[in-house]
Amino acid sequence: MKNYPQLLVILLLGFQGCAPWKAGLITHGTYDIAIKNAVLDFSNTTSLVRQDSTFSVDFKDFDSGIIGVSLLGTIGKFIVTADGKTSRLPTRYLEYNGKLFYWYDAKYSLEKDVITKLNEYSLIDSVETIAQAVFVHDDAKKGVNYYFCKKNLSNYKKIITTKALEYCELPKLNCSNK
Amino acid sequence: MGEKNDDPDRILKTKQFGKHKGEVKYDKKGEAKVAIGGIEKGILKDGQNFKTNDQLINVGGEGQPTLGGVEDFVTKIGEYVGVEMSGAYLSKEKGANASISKVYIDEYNGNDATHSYTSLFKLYSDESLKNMNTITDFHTHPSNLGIPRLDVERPSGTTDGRGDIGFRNNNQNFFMNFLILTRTTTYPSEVQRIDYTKW
Repeated sequence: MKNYPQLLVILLLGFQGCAPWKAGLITHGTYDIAIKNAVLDFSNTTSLVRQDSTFSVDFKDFDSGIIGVSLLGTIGKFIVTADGKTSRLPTRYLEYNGKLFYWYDAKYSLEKDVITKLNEYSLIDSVETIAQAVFVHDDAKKGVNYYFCKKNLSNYKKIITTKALEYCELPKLNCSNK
Repeated sequence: MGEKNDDPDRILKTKQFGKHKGEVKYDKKGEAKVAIGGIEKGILKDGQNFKTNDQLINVGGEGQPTLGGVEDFVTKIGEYVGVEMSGAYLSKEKGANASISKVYIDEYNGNDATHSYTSLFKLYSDESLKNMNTITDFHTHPSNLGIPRLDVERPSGTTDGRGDIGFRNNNQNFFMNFLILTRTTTYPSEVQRIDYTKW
């Protein structure tokens, strides 16, 4: 009887290890793959995914052999004015389980399908002038920061935080031989 | 607002409840209690409500407050009511170094210690503002609400998609400069400008 807690822990770990979504994690690749892995984990393990239907993605290559990916629910819409001024629009996106994840990647130009997708999720606020737009500063919204081993993108840790990738202390990741 | 004199303006504390609501509070010596003091002349006018109405303040001209005086005031009122204040600096000139002639302070209703929502609707509804350019986006970081000093003195988010840095990266077609206003930890405290345009 007194071994029940340990047994429960082992069973829970076992169930977690068998989570079918984990089969979708890709081990090797660049930040694009890290983003996909982050979205997969985020969508299957965090409650924050239920709080928004669209999420901005951020990524950063750390010198220490780590790729950082940050996922945060949308804060404010992208603004497009009649006189042709626009917010900087994301150039990449992916959809997963009916949620949109988007990010700006300077390596890619803005394609029409991105705008179509942003419109589909009502992320673009088309206004006559800047005076009709609403600009939002949000310093406190919680998101999830993921830190991946570059050599093995299925080896990662995550932190739920209000802070950006660079502000968080990098978690201890054993990236050597995994 | 105080009587007309050469002293700085001030906002007095008033009673919030009961049949004496709105009456000025006095201390034991019979002196009016001050909520916000040291306000440059030309900022306050009778009937202003910073919570529910957008305010436009002319700066830099004769008989007008300085831009620094408005910055000082906006940080003081933000800390007094416990919210971020936000708005824009306007000019008829264009470019990052344009001479600022008006400060647009957006109503603070709906803001809190870490969020602000800026709409510059008067630019649309007020004919006299049609040719004004939005030069600087500003918001305050209250320094008196227990937020770590490190976070008060820096823009939130250092990488692309989050917080103030993400805001800046997304909105450079609408504003030339991006500014956080807060107050120093010195005594007496002073306004502190954190320009994160090129942070």
